[in-house]
Amino acid sequence: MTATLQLTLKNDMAEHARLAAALSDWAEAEGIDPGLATTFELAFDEILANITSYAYDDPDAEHAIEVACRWDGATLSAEVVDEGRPFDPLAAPDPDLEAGLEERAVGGLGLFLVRQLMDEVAYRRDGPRNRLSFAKKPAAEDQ
Amino acid sequence: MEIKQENRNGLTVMSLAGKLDTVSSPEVQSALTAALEAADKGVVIDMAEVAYVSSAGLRVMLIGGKTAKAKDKAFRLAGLKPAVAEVFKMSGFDRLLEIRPDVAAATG
Repeated sequence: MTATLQLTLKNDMAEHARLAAALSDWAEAEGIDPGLATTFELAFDEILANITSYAYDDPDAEHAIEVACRWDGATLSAEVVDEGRPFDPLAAPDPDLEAGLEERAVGGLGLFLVRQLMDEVAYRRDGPRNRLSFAKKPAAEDQ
Repeated sequence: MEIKQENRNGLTVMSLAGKLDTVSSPEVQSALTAALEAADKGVVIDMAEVAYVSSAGLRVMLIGGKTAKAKDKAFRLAGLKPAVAEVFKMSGFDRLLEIRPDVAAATG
């Protein structure tokens, strides 16, 4: 039995709290590990921040962002679909993890964290849409 | 985000409760900047009640570390939950910032 959660968000970071609340309720109802749900909440923060900040030529206009989560009993997966500029988060360079405190840049970390936190991340451009999907299994000690 | 402050051994202990994410980070940034300015010896961030830290929160801590260094003050993080500690490690921030197991270790 596969459980799904679908929401349409506006390109406004205030929407992250609505998604987080829905995700938390859904995860609890489906018996999904809360730590895994929190990792997805973090990933959504990074991805939505990136879309709302950089995806649109007219960021003040309202745009729809489709979010879908799927739980098959073993893996939690999610897809975020936006109609912004083509952007492949997998092509972004990794930050310089060896830089010292003074040299360390203050940006570029968010999508790196998503790539590190998830077991799988995939991107494809689908006509006018960016489709970013990612998946992770619960940590072994939680199973 | 709930932010509380108290003085311990000349250090300002700032306790955060909630999620350190894109929405809450600006509020924490201004509180931290003010605390680093006012603190006698420096600032300890108690993160025991922080559920997760996104890159926006990491940025706040990086700026805190840089600001403290420029002012020759202490800046320490304490009580990170395992999932939060993992994010600090992944990003290499565990090597850039002083991280202590708890507030007692950070203020002692």
